[in-house]
Amino acid sequence: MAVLSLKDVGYTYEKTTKPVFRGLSADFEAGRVYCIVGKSGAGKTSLLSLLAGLDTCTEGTILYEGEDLSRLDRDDYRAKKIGVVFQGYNLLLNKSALENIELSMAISGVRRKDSRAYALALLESVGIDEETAGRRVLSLSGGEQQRVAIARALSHEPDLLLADEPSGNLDRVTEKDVMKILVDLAHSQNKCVIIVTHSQKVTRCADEIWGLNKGGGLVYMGTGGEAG
Amino acid sequence: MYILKNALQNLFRNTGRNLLTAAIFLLVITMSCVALVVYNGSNSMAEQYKDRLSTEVLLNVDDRKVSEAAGEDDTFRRPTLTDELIQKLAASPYLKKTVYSAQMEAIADELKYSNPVDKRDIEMQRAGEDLVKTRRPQYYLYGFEDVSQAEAFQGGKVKLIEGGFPTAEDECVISDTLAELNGLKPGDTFQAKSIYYTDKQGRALEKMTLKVSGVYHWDYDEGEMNVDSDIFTKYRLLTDPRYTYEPVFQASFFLKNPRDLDAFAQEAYAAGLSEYYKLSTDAVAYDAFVKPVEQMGTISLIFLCVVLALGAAVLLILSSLVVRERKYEIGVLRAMGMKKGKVAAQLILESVLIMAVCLALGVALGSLFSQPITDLLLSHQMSQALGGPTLAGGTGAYSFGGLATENTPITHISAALSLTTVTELAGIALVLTAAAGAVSTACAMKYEPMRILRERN
Repeated sequence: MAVLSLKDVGYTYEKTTKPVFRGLSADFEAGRVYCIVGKSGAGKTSLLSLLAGLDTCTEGTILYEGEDLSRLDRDDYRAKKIGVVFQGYNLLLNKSALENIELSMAISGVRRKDSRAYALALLESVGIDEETAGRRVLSLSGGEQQRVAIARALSHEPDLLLADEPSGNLDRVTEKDVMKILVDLAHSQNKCVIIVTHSQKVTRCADEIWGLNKGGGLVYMGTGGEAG
Repeated sequence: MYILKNALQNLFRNTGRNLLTAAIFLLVITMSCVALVVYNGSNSMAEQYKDRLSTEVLLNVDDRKVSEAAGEDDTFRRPTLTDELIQKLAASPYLKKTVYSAQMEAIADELKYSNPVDKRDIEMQRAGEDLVKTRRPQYYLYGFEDVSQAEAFQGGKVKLIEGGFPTAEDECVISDTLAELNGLKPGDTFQAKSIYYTDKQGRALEKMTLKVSGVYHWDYDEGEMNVDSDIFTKYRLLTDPRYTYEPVFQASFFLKNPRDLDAFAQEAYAAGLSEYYKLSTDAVAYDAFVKPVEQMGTISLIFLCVVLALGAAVLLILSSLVVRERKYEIGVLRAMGMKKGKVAAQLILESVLIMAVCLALGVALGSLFSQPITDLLLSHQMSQALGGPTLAGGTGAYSFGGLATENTPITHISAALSLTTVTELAGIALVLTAAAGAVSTACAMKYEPMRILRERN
């Protein structure tokens, strides 16, 4: 069964009449990496917001494990079921990288005796050492903040990972490492990974690539290998 | 638990914002503490003072009306207060207490005295009465239920230096001058009699034998009249018909509240008090001493209301601004799945933590400033009050033979912090925190995470 399914999903901003997109239908399954590509303004980030439960679609339904997302406790859904890597990272700036991870774990109700060690290990896995982990987010570079955002999204071991331009601020080496983590999550840990991106390098890692057309629908474009 | 941890982290990491909030909280609590301490202190003092205040009813015969009546009617007799009437008046519910006293002009030919007085007989006629033979007084006898309560002794200028106050009806306290001149000491006796030879009905008056129970000394101020001739005894002796022409029997009535004078007067006239009597009271002293303290309470209450209104307004505005400033943080927390209730709880918890610290500091600071401010206000209020109307007798001047009115100005109000004040402050702190928390929560609840993050990004 698909982790996430879109059934004729459409979205129109408040106080506007023209839909950003409509009639989107797709199934996202566990163990696969999906990339959603499209031109600027096609509604990629809006779609991600709907999938993340931060907003509700104005048409159609989104099903999470067969249940209508609009009927679920969306706070719980965000806290426990999914991890989101936002384009702007959306980290808590007055906290350290480590505290961001720990707080995310606390909100999602993850109980670990070694939560600090776990958070440090997670940060280590995305290339953030202990010293950097203790620094306030505001003093970290864009690339470091992005890695912290990825670590935070993984901190509560979600079934579904949504990422908006996850490698946007990363150097080539780190981008490769991050993508490896995301692919491993899907292939080794059977998670569903959905990435919104412009990067062709990123799409090469995808199992499926979907194109989002402005005002239109979602079109299957093939696999990463084909796209590359 | 993580909410508390997060709230504590936020408090220490956003020091500028939190210090500003804390400064306002602290100011409001400190000023409220001072206002409450002054208010509670002055209220309690006013109540205590009202309780022990002696608002004496002055019962005076209107001499002008008496003269007019005597001129029109030869049979008219000057009205007096009978024992029966006094007892009726004394039972009035408007009275706090009744103090009995009497006085007599007397002679004691066997005693030596410092101021020679003509011993020849003279004739005297009181309004509406027949001509009677009398002598000039050498001594003035003042009788009280309890001599120690006489104004002379209460005022502090007259001090008992030997023996004690009278306990038996025939005992008396004499001046040290009189004692020295005549070699009298406690336990000695001497004789004295009224300046009248007969009573009003023409019966011959007897001599009284007085036993010295104590000796007093009066510290004269320069220019003050020597009153060594005052003798203090029990009032019953001076109202004994064997010794007195007509008992000049006095009862001092003390009202519970000076505002009850009219009601008491109506009751007194209904009980049989002659219309020739005028009733007045020492309301000036009441107004002079209690009103300023009550005004202090009112001032502090108004001050408290202003502080709370302004403080609350500033805090509410600040709370809404702080939440606006923290919009992004709220958006992130909500995007991470933190429920609205928990976000609100965290905001309120931060306010509670700040307020708890400010409450402790504010109470400490407030109690530090309360006493000097209370003293300053009291001194200002009293100087204004005492600089106003002239006070009725007994509030400052001493007059031998009169009764102490106990109406001494309030010179000190204890501004100690009571449990009641601390509880009230805690209540104020709670209300302010709740109001600030409610505004924060209401603002925070309006924000949808996606909109906040979209605006930010």
